[in-house]
Amino acid sequence: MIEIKNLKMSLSSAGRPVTILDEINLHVPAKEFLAIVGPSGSGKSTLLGLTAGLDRPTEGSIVIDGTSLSDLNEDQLATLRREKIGMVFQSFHLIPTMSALENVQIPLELQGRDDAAEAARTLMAAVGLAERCHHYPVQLSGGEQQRVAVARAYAGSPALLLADEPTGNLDSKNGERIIELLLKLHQDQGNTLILVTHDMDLASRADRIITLRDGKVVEETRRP
Amino acid sequence: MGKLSKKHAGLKNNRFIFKMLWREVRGALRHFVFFLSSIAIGVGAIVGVGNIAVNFEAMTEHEAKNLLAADLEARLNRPLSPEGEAVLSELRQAGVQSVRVSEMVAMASNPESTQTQLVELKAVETAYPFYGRLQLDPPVAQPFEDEGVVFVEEGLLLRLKLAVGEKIGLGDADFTVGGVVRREPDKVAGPFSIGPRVLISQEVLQRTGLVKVGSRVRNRLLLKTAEDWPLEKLKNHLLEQWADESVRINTYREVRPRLRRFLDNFTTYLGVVGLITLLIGGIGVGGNVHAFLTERIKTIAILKSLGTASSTILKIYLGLTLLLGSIGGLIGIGLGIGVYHILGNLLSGFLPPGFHFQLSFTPIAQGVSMGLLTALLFSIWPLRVVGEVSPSRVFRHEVEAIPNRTEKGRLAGRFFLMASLVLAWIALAVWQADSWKLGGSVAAGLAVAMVLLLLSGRATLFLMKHMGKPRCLSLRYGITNLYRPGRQVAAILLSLGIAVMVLLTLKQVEKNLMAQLEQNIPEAAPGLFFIDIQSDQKEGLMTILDQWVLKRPTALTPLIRSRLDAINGQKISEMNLEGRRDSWYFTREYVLTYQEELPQHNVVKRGLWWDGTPAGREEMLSVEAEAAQHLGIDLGSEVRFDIQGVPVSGKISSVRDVDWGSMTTNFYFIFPPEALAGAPETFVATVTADAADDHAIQNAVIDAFPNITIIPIREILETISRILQEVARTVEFMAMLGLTVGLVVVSGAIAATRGRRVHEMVLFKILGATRPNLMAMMAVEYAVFGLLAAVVGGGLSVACAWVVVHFFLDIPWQFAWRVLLVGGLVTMVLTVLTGFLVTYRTLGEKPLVALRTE
Ligand SMILES: Nc1ncnc2c1ncn2[C@@H]1O[C@H](COP(=O)(O)OP(=O)(O)OP(=O)(O)O)[C@@H](O)[C@H]1O
Ligand SMILES: [Mg+2]
Repeated sequence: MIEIKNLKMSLSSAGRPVTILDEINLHVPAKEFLAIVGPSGSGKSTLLGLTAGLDRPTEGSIVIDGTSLSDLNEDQLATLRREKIGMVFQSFHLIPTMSALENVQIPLELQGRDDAAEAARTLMAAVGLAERCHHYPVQLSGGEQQRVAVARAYAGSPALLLADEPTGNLDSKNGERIIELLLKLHQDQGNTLILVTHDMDLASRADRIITLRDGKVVEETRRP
Repeated sequence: MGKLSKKHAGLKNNRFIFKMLWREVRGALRHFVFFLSSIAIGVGAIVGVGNIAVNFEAMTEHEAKNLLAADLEARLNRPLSPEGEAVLSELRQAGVQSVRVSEMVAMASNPESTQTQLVELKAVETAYPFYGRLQLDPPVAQPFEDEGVVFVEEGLLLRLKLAVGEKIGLGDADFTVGGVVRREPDKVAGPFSIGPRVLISQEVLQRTGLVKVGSRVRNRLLLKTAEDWPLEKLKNHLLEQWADESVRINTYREVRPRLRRFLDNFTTYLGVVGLITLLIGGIGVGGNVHAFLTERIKTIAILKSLGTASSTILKIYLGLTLLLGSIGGLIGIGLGIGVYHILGNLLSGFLPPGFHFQLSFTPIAQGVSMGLLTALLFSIWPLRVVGEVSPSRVFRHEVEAIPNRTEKGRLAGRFFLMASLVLAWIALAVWQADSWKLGGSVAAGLAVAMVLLLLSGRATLFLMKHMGKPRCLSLRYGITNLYRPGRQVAAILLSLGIAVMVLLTLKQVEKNLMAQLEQNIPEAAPGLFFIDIQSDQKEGLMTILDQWVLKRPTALTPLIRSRLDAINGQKISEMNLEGRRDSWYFTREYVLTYQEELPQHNVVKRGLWWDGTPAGREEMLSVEAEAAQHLGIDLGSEVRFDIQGVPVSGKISSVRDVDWGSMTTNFYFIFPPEALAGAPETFVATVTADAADDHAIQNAVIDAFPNITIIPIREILETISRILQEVARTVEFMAMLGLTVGLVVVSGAIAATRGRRVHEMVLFKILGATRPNLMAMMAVEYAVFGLLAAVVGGGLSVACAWVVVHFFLDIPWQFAWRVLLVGGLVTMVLTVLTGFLVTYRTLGEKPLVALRTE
């Protein structure tokens, strides 16, 4: 489903060029659960962002379902995300001025679904927050916010889900709930899941683990 | 702690305040662009108008001293009775000097050609003027001794192609132009003039033969005090002795010419618009400070948890407000000078030639202090949170960090604060308008408008929220964005709404006024008005007029001069009218007419008009309602007139309502034709021809019948309309300043949400929104803001304009829906453009970078 070739990303930091990602080659087949681990600053978030088309690589190509991201303009990238990609972040990134339900509704509405409200309500129920639909993000706990974020990420039934340390800001109990949720939805919907994490226990549940260091893939383990 | 160390601590605290203040200014000047421009434009408006007002005042003041050219003036509605003349000659013997002044509009001609020109004739006597200087070129020692000489304004010579020393025709005779009038003391500068001045002696006026029955002459007496007759004594003596005469007496102290009063009112109203502009700016300041504090709320909370006293923090931000208010005020001075030059240009028609504007200090100082006070007043409300902030809450809340506490003590405190702020602003308004009534009513009106704006805004938002959500995504988000927390909807609605209200009110009043004028110009109003047509000139006049294609047949209206002789058999001379304020109705001269048909603009209120009444017609008489009321007569009353010694009487058979505003000759009393047969009469006629023919018609008529006076009504109306347009443009310019500030406030309010918007946009992008999606959402949001302001402001403006048109102007109300439609659209377009200008760059934010900075 994803084909990454010779991916290189360099940025200039304080006037000096910094290479964040270097010669990444990666193939992710459909329905795989891939975990990315690595020390802080190794480029995990950047790799995920590039995969989602949120920025452009300096060199190399990313092909998703036969479409090369470099052939798409910004709006076409947005359309691609709308149709295929869902994202979950460490710091939740809910829209603070919208209620939980409205946050979940957005991807559905962008897809032009007439039943967006009902579908969003169903999703909220699925993440166990049916009662909290009209609360604003600040009125929810971190774990609850992240569950809303997961509901939002799955709302558009994406073929690819990118999760960047989704449990990083949560205590272990809440973190566990999020992971269960993610994996259950991954199984139910049969999508591709790429999860960035520091938690080796968690990573070990993936089909495959790759380790990044200084922008390079230094290790790859496949679950037996 | 000892005294000294206390003092030391105080000093240290002050140092801390200044340091913090400096840090904030340095770090946040960019944030305060909107604060500064709001105050600057408001101050600019006030400084500009203030300077114009001072200059106009100086101009009229300058001329006021010589305005009368005398100590006392008596305006005569009719000639003095012999008794009245006796009083005057007694005074003359006691050393009081007097000059008779007669003014009328007449036609001057060049006897050598056929050129004619309407002039303002003014006849005086040798002692004129008592004060001020009459400057003639070439100078003449005794200008009014020679009965064959007239003095004219230079413009007339140019138009008639004449030179000093040549002949000029006035009425029945020709005279020599003795010189050019360079300066005339009691001529009021201004645009209300019909033609160039011709200055003559009373003897010359007699020789012209222009003063006849029916001609419009304004007579005045100028008096100069004597040693035994100081001003007040003289005035009281005359008031007493001339109680039965139809005179109005003014001393030089009381003279307030029309122009002066007009300019006074006008600049006051411009000032009010300036004040409103400043108020709108104040709302912007409030919004800006609120947004700034929302951003700083964490800093404040940290300072507090580090043990800084609330009062110290308050001082920091109050100091910041004062500093910014002063900077804004200084920029405002610059803007104000610009505004003042623009206004000066727009109003140049009101200035006498050669009058130079001068900047003056007082209005500048007033404008700046108004600006500073406004900045302070409008900052205090948002600044109250400094005291209310509780650190523990702040660290949790993100969106609306301002706490929403409603404890009783705090509520009362807030109410008290709000009330004192409102009162303080009313005091400012009174100060600026220089009148309790005006300032108070402006402040009250604005308060009502603001409450209505907010209420209707709330109501609209409520309706929108509960109306069911539109299908279209952008529409949905654009609209729901409005009632999300932290959007400053109130500030936007208030500032834009008030600006729209003021602008559209002015526009609608103007449209109504212009419609009224235009209605009169092409149709109802004739181009020319002829006075003093003698019976034997009727046919000749008609033959002349036949040479042109007239838009309407010319009607000759007979005029018969008379006096009331008796009512219901009781003679007027035997009535006791002393102390009656309306005695004028009994003693005045009545111009009678006879008509077969009920004239236009007349409506019979009681009784019947005489058409179709075969018997007893010659007995009938129709009276105007108001006169009937004053004279105490009604249907059936018998009224007797004295027409040059011949008594004519009639029984009231109808009471009419007359539209005095119509541009036609109207009468208090109308007889049926047979009743006045044979009475000495002259005629007036209204001639409606093609505008291009007016001049030729005037020339032909004057040529054939020099005694006929012609008033070019079209020209006069055009002058009035030109002046009105000048006034309208000026007022509009001021209102545009208000709208500009309104848009600045909108920009500020939108900019305040910028950070949040960037975050939202990026998230939307991540969720798959394209730039067209985002732009549509933005456009809808701003357009709904604009629409809301336009609908509510426009609605209020209809009410305001209706009040002005109906109660103050007293002209028929026309619903100017085009103004509202265009105004609403323009408001929406401008709001959308402003919004885009402030936020278009957020569209281009790179998602990854933006998320990182979050
Ligand atoms: N816009 C940027 N400008 C400069 N440097 C950047 C930029 N974005 C990322 N970097 C640098 O690139 C490197 C990789 O960043 P990235 O966020 O991908 O790391 P990460 O593996 O996700 O780390 P963490 O586990 O802490 O989230 C870091 O050293 C970071 O400082
Ligand atoms: Mg990261």
